[in-house]
Amino acid sequence: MDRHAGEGIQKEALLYRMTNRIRQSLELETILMTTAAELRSFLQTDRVKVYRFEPDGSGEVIAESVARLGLPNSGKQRLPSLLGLHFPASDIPPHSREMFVKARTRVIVNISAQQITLNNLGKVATTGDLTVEEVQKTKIEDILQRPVDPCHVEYLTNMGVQSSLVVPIFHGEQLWGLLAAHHATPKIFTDEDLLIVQLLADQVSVALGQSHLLSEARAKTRQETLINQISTLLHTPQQVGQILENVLKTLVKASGCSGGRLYLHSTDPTTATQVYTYGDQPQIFLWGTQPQKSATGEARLLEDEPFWLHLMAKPNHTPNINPVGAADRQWLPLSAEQFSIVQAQLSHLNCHIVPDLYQEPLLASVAATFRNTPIRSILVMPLWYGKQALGGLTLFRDEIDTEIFWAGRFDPDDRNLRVRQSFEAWQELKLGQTPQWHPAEIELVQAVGSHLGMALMQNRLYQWERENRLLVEMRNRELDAARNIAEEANRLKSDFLSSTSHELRTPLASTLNYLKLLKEGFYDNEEELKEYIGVAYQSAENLVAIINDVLDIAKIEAGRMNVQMKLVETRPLLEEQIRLFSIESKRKGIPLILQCEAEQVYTDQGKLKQILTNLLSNALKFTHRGEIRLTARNAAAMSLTGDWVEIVVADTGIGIDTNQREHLFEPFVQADGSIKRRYGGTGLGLTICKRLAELIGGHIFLESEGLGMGTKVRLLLPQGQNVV
Amino acid sequence: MSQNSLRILLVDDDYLLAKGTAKLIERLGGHRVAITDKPDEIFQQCHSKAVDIVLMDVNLPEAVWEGREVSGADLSRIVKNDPETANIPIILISAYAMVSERQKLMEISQADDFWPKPISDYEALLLAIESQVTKH
Repeated sequence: MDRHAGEGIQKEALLYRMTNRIRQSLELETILMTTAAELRSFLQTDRVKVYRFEPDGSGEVIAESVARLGLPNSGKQRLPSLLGLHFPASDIPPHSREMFVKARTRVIVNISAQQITLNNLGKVATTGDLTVEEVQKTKIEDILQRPVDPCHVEYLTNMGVQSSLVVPIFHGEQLWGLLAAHHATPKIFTDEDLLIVQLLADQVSVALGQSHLLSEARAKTRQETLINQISTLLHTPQQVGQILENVLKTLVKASGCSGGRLYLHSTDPTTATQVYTYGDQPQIFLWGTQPQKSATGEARLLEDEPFWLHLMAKPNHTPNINPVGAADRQWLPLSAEQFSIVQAQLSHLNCHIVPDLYQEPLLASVAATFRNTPIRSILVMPLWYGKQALGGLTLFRDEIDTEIFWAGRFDPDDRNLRVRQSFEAWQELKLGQTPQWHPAEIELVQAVGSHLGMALMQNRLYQWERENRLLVEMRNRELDAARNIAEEANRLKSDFLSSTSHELRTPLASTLNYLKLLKEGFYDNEEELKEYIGVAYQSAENLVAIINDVLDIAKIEAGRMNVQMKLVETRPLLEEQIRLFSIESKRKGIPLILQCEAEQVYTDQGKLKQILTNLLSNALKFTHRGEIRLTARNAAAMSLTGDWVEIVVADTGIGIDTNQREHLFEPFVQADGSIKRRYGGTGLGLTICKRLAELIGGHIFLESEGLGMGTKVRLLLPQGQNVV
Repeated sequence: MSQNSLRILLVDDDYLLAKGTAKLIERLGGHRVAITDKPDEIFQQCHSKAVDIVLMDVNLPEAVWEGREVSGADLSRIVKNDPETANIPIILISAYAMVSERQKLMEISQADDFWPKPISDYEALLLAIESQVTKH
């Protein structure tokens, strides 16, 4: 009892120490190396190895502990190191692996003199004769108690192993690998040993699970970090194009690809989707290795190929197999069957992977463009937001070269017939292998893809909203401007009406007053009678002048003023104007000086005369001493293109207050309200001049240095050189 | 006649027009009419109680009071806001005869009545003048 208890404690302490060491690290490699070392030191065997199965059934020694002869550093080993070496699947064939799964326990062989520790002597069949099904059907007791396959005996012998203890390592329900202890000489393993080894294997299973969780967590963290990085990129205040380029670059790098393309459908459904531009056209962003242009040099996008068109198809869009200008091109339209395959893969994975683009019939049309690139595999992820197809993300992965160190040469066709005689390591180099896409990488691409879809949609909605807002703002501004113009026109009209009414009523009041005085006979003498008649007549004349001017303006504004443009001799026209005012000029003692250097002008003769009469009349009216100059010359005007005739009426009269200058062309405005009374006139002269000048294609400017400094009116009229 | 004779101040800058108006009022109504277009003269006349009623033109381009250009409507308001002259009736006579202008002018001027230029019915105007003076 005591002895058993003591052994139990010792065993527990040993196990505790070993598992404690194993648990000190979360790194699988460290855990396995520690396990191997601990187990070898416990069992005192020559070699302990951890063997991991690959999905294809082959395997690799990934951790090992080997005993050295004599001094620990002497370098001489009883059994050679197998670390890093691969063993073909045939070395531990499917039925053997199935046996490990079923037995879930040790396989013990003592090769020395064919001595087998645990066997059923009554049983003839060895594991080598069993199939997977037979192993599954065989009772566990029969498996545990069976003779060793002679082949295996030879195999171990050739390896230099005389005794062996092997325990399977499980990851969940899956056979993950083996924990094997080899010894160069026969060795008895006690039940105690077996128990410890089994417990240790269980610990390794737990550690495997944890390590797996850790790497999952790490992958997840990496993925989240990348997504964060990308979503940060997506929200940086940059041009959308710049952002997408950066996102693409980051994703290509992080997913271990050599190149990538981001293709965005046109946002405008009417736009053809094969044009490479920005804006409403489809957009494409490229990064890294890309296929080359086809031999014919067509600048055709991959995304216009049926393969991509189908993958990125808009829901209501029947893929157009023959896009614009493609009539003469060789197409391989997808059959309904092919299309459903593509769709099925889509719904399952959301992204479509072509492991080897040269093996994919759907890519036969573009395979040539990849010939000169290392690209071998393609991943296409259509980008969606809800039911809206936004485009697609395409990633390229280069072909890879693998190198595997095998433990001894073997003939794949002859695997079970001849046992390998040597386990000497040799290196197998495989070039141009199809690259693998790990589920975690695909998940990453999918996650980024869905983020990208959301961000793109957000951006589109934002753009759309902004465009609409701008459009509304623009329309509002246009409406505002139109309303302001209409209001201003309305105000001007009503001002004009009001002024006209006022200006007509004033002379009318005078006329009526004096006519009434005459009618009532309210005059005391002949002189007063004459005066009353004179004032009434003058007022009536004034009224007529105003009415005529108002009618002129109304006619111009209504567009009913006829204009007859032609080339006119300048000098005779100006001389006639001078003659018209010669009497008044002599009466006032103000000389009129003509200076004509322009030969002809393109104008309406009548309108020009009306303008000049107005201007000269004004000049004479407002000038009390000095002179009035009428000049004409050819001139190029600042800020106006073309050749002009400049006609200037310059006086030395009362001038204009600078503040008043701009208003003088408005109806009924005189430089000083009082002047109107003193100087008479309708108050419409300059208004009519301006309107007439514009009517005959000219411009009129009023210049004055200020009050008392004289006035200069410049009239620019076209020379009309090009007119025949 | 002399009992009913009123002292009328006619404010207008168009002297010829004002002369005709004044003559018609004097001859038809038997009142005395003084003509001016100078603000200080208007206020002086009103303060000296030498005026029974003011006929005020609105457009007075040369009128300046306390450094500012003023219209007949402004002058009317000044007279009305002065307690000493507030009871003097004022009739605006203006060629700004449109309804909107008229309302605006009446508001600004606080005048008692408005007559559009030209005056076609002097008999009616004289009745209005007399009724305003009686009212005040």
